[in-house]
Amino acid sequence: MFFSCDKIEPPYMNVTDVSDCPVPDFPDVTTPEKTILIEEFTGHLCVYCPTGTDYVHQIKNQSYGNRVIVLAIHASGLSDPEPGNYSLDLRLIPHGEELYSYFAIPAEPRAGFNREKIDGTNNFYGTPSTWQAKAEQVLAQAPVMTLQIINNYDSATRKLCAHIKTKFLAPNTQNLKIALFLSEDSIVGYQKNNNNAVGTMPDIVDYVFMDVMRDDFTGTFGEVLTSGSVAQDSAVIRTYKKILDPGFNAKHCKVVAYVYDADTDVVLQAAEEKVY
Amino acid sequence: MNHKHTFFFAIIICFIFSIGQGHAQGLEKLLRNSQVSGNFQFDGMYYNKDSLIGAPDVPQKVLMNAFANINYTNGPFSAGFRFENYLYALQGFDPRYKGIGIPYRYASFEKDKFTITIGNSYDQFGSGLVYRAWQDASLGYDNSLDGINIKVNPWKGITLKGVWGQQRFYFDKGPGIVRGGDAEFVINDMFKKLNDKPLRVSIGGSFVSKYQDADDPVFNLPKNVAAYGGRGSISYKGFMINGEYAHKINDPSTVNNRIYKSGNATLLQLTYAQKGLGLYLAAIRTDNMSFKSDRDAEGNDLNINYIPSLAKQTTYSLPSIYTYGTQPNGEFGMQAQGIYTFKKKSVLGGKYGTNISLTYSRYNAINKKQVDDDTPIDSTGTLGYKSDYFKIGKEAYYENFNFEFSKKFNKTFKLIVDYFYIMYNAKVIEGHEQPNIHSHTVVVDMTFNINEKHSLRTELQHMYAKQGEGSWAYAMVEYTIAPKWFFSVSDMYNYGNSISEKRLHYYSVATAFAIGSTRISLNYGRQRAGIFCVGGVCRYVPAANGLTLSISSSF
Repeated sequence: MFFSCDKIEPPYMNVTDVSDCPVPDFPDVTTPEKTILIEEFTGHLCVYCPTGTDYVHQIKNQSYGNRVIVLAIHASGLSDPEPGNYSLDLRLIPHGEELYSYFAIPAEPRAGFNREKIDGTNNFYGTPSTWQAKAEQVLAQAPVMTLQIINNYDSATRKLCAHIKTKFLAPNTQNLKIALFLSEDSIVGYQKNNNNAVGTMPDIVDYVFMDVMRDDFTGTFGEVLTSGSVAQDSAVIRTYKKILDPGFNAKHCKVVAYVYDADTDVVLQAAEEKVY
Repeated sequence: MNHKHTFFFAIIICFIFSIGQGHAQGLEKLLRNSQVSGNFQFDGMYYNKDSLIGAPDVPQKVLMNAFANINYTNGPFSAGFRFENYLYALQGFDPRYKGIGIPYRYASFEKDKFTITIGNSYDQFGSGLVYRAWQDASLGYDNSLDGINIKVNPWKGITLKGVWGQQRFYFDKGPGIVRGGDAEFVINDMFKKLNDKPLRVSIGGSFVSKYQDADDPVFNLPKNVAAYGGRGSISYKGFMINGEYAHKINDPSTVNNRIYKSGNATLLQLTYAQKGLGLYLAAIRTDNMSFKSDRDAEGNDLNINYIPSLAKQTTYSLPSIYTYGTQPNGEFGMQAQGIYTFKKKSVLGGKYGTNISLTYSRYNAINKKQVDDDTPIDSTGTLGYKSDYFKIGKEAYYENFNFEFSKKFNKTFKLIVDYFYIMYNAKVIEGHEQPNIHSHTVVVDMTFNINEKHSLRTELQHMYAKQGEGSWAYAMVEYTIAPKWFFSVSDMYNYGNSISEKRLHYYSVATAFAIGSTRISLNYGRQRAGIFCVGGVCRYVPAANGLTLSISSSF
């Protein structure tokens, strides 16, 4: 027992060898547009959540094109799998709980819009009644950077190379972090519901879960992108690699990336791209 | 049959076997020496939705927490268990307290200077900086260790302890294994010549290691993390000084944002006491000292150690709004307290004496600097930061100045007057983005003993604050008919809230009835959202409106 210490020497993090992921050429972005990351906290035992998700999809399906990126985070006790019909486990542990706890989410459904505070509150995350106005407000902002993703996927080995490029449209002095997650669409399972306008009550037996946060590339809170001054037009290109979990349907998976201010948590730009 | 039931089955078999093997005299002796004791507590609440105070609609309408401890002792042998029932847990308690079970059970015997406990145990090494297993039902806190606990006194004045097990995690166990040992030497007790000397010295040391498997594709994680510490205490007549230092090796965790810096904590306490006078001076510095048996745990889950709080605690409602919660990632705290009792029959002491006390406590951040020019402080996967041990961080977390005057004027009237100044950094303590709160509170607590059975107590409190929720007023009247009845009415009024819709009354009406050791109480009213802390450990209490029934009993 008295020798039970594991002193870890640097490097503390495993640097993934991405030499087998050649970096592609990124096309120029001719018309930069502000994008929005909607982090939707939900759970299959949450009776109000189908209504919340419906609101999110209504926002996404408006004429914003690819400017709305959704990450559905299944966290808290309302996402716990239970024996029987609710055995599906859509949690990403510990990432979902860490975000839920870090942002002090009081209950589901809650959604954040680029982690900007809901007007008149100190909360990043609001109830559905605040969502539409917040989305419009964020999307009206001018972009400060572009963010692109190019994925290369080998279906034989399930190796996914995700390349990202950020380009600054103006000088920047913020401490920025980048976070990458893998999301999956079209997962079918049971969902509690108390709104017959969106499905059967009290259970929707074939509910289709979309944008589910399934895996990560960078840890819950991402990794440092820049710290200190960055000149206008400077760019950062990074490559990430992952072998997809056999439980995921690669055809329904997307890589979601976002850049945020490490001091304020506000997301500056987000992007998503299908695995293939 | 799961392991919990196997454990009890084995105890019952041993019990029956011992009876079967014995004769009538043995059985009589066994029964004569047997003692069974226990206690029961039930708290149930019917919730009303109250959107004004932010009390949510509770789908189950009524929630409850209940537990019962049953203990059996027979000479050197003891065994017991605690039954717990949360269907579902009261608002403000972690929802993972869900269901019915026996998460705490133990058997223990003393033999040949050894005390051996199997099952769950509570214990503490020194002041708890490296190990403390404890329980507080009001906090929903229980980190008992399920395993073995051995204590031995090989020589007078020497106490050796060893623990090995897994921590309780709601109705389950944490994933990590905790192993530890402690040795304490009371020098004066060890040597007969020193037994009666006024100078008393003791020293001690602890070592605790946790093991948790690690299979992380990104982080190189330590599977074994150790913490160790040393302590000493010297007392001479009315003086006593004691200190403890603890160190923890790299322990990247969710709490510290997965940094690899080692941690440390220092606690120093100085006391002086003589008749009528007590002085206390203490300081604590903690640096990255969260120590949990699961690196992914958060909040109060699976703490192996305990960081003592030096902030003044009070039971009065208004100053309790702003109570300090310890910050294991780093804090520098101190407390200075003086208590003086004016002698009976002196000018200021009067017939029954007069007590006054002054207490000042303050907490600041520790000094943190970047490990290099390119790495922001607390960056994941780095050493996190550098800290100058003797430099105090600029950010103030908490400050409390308290003056208390307490006097019994005659057989029927007692008066306590308190003043509190509290500075509260809500951003650090509660995670709310808001300016520091500066509050001034005056409390007048009067007790009128009408006769031997009837007494009336009132509390009048006023808090002045510009920040946070602004100013409050509070009044309470309590009428007791000893030994059975108790009635109270109170109201907390947030009249100074800057948002006019939030200038609300938090009223409460309560009654209680006692029969022997059984007490039944009913309370109807509103509960303000906030944090509730015991010894620096806190839980969030949401706003609530409803009827609470509590029953407690012991035998």
